[in-house]
Amino acid sequence: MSTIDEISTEAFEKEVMESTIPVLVDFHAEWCGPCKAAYPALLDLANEFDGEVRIVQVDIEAEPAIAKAYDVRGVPTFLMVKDGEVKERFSGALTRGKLSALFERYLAAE
Amino acid sequence: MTFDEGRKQALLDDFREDGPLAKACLGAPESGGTESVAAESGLHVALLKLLVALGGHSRDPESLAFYLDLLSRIPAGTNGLDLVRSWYAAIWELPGVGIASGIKSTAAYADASAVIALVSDSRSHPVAPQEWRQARAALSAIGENIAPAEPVLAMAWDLDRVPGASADVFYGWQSATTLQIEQRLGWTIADADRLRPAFEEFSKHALAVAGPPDKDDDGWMSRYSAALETCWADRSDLSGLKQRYDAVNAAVADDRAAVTAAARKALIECAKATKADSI
Repeated sequence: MSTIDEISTEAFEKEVMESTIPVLVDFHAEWCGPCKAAYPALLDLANEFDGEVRIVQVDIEAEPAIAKAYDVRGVPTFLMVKDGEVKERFSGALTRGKLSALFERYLAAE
Repeated sequence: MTFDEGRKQALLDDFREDGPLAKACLGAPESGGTESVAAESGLHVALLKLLVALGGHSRDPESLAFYLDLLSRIPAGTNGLDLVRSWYAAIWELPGVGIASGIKSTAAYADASAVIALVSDSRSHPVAPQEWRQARAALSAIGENIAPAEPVLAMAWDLDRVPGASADVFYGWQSATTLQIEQRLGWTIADADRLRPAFEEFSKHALAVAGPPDKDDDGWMSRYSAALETCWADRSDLSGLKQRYDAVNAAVADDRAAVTAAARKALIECAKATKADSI
């Protein structure tokens, strides 16, 4: 069973930007209902793509510096990071199918 | 745990009385309530998640009637998993709003059809998680514009491992049809981006005028709406875009209602056709 780690500002560079596999970063907040609604799908995807794509979370209130650095103005906001670069960003509702298609696209490009 | 006649009646009674099982089921999606109700009732979590998604997690009379109609038609002795799979096949083929109609003319049709074939296979024998993954990967190869295929991508999961995918099929279906409407009416991301700052600014202004929302204040909504109207009236440069936005929104709302009605009807029809010996 995979987990979705909370990433601190200090750990962001190493855990996300220097990751050897693609990373989906979920910027969320404790008060955010849509963020909580998205969590079960993220957990399913973390299990399905265990070892291939990593999913992490950043709490924008606990880690405002990272949120500011990546111009996160609302939650949930997702960043897809690969090879130390933000490849795309998106927000809004997610389905498992949509996320899995996104991951497959990045894995196919490797 | 089997969904036997006693548990079926208990579940129906609970939903009629808005009892603890109904409350658990209709709570926030992330609350895990459907898992506990599945353990209590013998129904599969995937069916319960689909049930509440189609009812909009609502307790309104129309949704309640839908829950009761569906639950009453599920034969005792079944767990509802095959019902979910039969619903997938049904909504693929539905005339008009069906999923196939939105994808038929695209490059994804063959790979989407392969997923539907796998869904059909899964009704008679187990499909390995890797087969589902391969089917999704093939369909994903269509590129970034996966919206028309989103509900089909959501069908390609092992529901024992990922039961939440059943609800995603419905949400993906709604997203796909919304996109079709936006494309048909020429609504673009650039249009939405152009209106967004005005929405944010006007909402702030209207909140300042109307004061903090107060559910006990009957006049709050009319004050808020009037303030918003004034803001839009002052921005004649945006009026054409706003009118188009309103038209797109109205069409999307109509379409979502049609999809929801069709989805519910299809599930009820599938339940009617469910045999007591299907798993």
